[in-house]
Amino acid sequence: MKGLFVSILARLKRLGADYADIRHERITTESLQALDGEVEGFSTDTSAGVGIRVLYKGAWGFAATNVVNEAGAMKAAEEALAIARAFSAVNADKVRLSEAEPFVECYSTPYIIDPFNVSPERKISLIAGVTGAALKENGISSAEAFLEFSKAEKEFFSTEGAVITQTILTSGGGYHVIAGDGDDAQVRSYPDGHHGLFATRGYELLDELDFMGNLPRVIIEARSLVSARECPTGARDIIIDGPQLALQIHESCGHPSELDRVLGAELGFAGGSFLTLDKLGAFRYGSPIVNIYADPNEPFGAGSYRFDDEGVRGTRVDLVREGVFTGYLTSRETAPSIGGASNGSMRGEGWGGLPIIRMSNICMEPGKGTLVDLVSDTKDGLLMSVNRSWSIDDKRLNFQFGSEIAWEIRNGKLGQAFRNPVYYGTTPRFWASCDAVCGRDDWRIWGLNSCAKGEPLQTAHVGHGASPARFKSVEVGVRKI
Amino acid sequence: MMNGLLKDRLIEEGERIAGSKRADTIEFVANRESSSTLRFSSSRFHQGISVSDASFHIRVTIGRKIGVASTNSIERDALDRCLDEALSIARSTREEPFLLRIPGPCRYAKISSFFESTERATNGEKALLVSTGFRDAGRSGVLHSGALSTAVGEIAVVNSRGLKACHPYTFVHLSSVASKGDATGFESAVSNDLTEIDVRGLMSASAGTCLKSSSPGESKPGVYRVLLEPAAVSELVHWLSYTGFGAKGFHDGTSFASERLGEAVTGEKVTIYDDGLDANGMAIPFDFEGSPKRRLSLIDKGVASGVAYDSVTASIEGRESTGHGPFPGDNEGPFPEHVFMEGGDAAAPDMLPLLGDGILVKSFHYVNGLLNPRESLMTGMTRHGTFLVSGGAVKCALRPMRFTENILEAFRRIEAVSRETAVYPNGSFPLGSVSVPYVLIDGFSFTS
Repeated sequence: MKGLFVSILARLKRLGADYADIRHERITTESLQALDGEVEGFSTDTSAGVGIRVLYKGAWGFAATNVVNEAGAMKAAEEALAIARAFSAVNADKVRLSEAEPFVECYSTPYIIDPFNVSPERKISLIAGVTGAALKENGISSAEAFLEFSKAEKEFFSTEGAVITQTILTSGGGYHVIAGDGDDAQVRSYPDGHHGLFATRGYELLDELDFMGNLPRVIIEARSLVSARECPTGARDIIIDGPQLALQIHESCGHPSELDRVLGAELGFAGGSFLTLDKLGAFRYGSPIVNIYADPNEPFGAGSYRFDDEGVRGTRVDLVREGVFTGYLTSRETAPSIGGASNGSMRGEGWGGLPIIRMSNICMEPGKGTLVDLVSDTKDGLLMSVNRSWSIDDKRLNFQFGSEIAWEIRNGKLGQAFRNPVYYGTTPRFWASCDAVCGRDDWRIWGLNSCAKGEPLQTAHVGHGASPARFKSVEVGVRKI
Repeated sequence: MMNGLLKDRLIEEGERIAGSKRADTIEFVANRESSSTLRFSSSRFHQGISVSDASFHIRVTIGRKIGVASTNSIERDALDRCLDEALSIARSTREEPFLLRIPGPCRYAKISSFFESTERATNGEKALLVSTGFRDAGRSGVLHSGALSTAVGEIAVVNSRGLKACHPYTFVHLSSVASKGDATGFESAVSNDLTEIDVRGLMSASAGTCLKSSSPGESKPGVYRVLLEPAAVSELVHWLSYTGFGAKGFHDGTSFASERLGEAVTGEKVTIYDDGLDANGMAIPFDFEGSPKRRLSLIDKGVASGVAYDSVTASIEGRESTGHGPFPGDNEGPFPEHVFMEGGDAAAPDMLPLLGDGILVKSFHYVNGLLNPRESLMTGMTRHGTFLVSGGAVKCALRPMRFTENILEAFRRIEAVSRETAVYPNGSFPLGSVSVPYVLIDGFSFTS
């Protein structure tokens, strides 16, 4: 198809386009679900198409089609140009793109075992086995497990001469068990909530996760929640484990540092950001031990890639350095507003998603010591594990997050479990209260497959490196008012 | 950008696949859609998105084994490969403990969801409609953000039991956020017919709310009497239907309705039902398995009364589908997607005086109902208009506030429900909606 796409781009230039690019993608997905020892779902999906972006007199148009032939692609190109023309007639200010090198490269994410070559029996045994075993345990009313594998084969062409092919292979999965007594139902998940942990890896990830080996602990914890007391209320020191901290980073640092959001692109939907341009390089985001970076090159992250969807090489950027806000996730359109070039953060969901700024892998640098050390060092607090609920305001300041379980910490020892734990606060004050971050031994890159943004809503895979961390005097529990 | 409707072609391919006799049952679900989304920010168009796509889902059963595959290509060889894939999965998977019963031929209600006015409108014409709103607001220094989205599509369901169903549709949704400094206002409307959407009027209304929202004051956390406008109520009812009225949650015990059907769960002023045939919402004659839509009572005068089932969950429990087969590929199970909260006997303009002293909430943001779904505990922020009301009149704007509340308990404290209702989108498929009234609640917890 290369010849066709190059000729379409040339035609768009002749018709007056300032710039245009074409993404041709084919995404293959395999999903399996098991419920209570039975296969609940087993399906495959193939989606192929072309997305064409046109900049005309400083205004954008984007059109995509599943008809991947000359007529279909040409029609999409004309549609994108027509939208851009209509917008250019209304918009007073014009888009200016930062410079970008037109790469001609191929890249594939590394893996050991191609999940699409693993037998169905092996996958089914894994998820039916773990949910069936869970259901045999006293007090467990239901168990559900998930596996999902996807392979995105992408080609990118631009009027500037870029020709990039990438293959991104992603694997992921997890399970949860539900313990109930008729009056209540409590959930415990492994290795993470929200359908598990995702990474740009092969089936070896699932082998390493050891679903079955972790089941006894998960069951004990789920059962303990049914008779547990409600999470107490008031200000407490809290230790947040890796999966929960990953979501905290995602919501309170990742989203607000998206420069398109800062500049207003999501005002009509998800909202803006408190990290306004005047805060860059000057704003005290958190305590001096808080260091957060974005890096699509982080090995095996769910948000790993070499080139973004406007052909820019993804580069590491420090978002928070020693507690000070220092960087944004940028695109070619937004980067000039802070006087730089794009750091390669534009991604669209498949061929039909307009590229918008997305988190890649947003990671908090590890500190020192282990979780055991941190608990030992905590006199009176709570350890909170695995996200259950999340809510944050439209500037990403006022948040309330819930986790599946919390344990009391008294004089350096873990005690009773509490159910329905929540904590809440405002973003800079919360991060300013961070006084300890565990070290590399407890750090891992967590991965979500469902980060939602934009209209029409697009979902993206994102990674978050995190180790447990402690926050001082955080409000917890649901106050009875 | 869609090349006309392909009803005959979709049915023909469906009959070919479903009639292949290569499995005990074969279902074919096709959805073609061309959508256009014109996004604007600060009175400037920044994203124009036109997508033409299709999905063809094939579900087969061999005995008690089920296989599902899908493709977005209508080419015959791609559909054949898709069938092969579904058969391969069915052969390699394990037997289910139940035999999937799919619907046979059905009669459907006649519903008009397709409007040429929507299909014919060009992106240039739609941009012009919105830009008029930009100019109006510009005079008062208000900027507009939001999106005008349209879709033209068709869905076809064919199965090996002889079921055939096809429905064309159009869809329009305007969301308008007006802003000036930190003050904002919001309006939204959804319809099948573009001419039914008063783009200029809605943008003007959101600008009006924005101008009233300036210089907001602080309000302390506490329990307040509240008047929730329909946009706010829609979020709560959406989450109630998501966490409470689906068969999966009911089965696994996480739903508040589990073991409580027949019990009073709210006050008597609350009646919630699902009705895909009601043209006051975004109606559709059948679900994604071809089962006819019909009214399903969820809460009747405060009493929990029903749960949504598709063929899978119905087969597991040995009952009939309620017509809530989800969009193919959705693994969360069936949910009500055409939800109505019944209007009451109060006139909307009388509700502010009825409130007396309290807080008026125009809409909520980022509501999450997963805190403790068994207890319908939800949290979220007020957004785009929060006002302190004194003596039945708006006194001043307030900054956004966070609520954390057991919604079913709050619905026990409902004092008044308006006759007037408004419709909002519900779910990812265009023909889903939630229709709700204004609600006055005597006691709603704002926690920060």
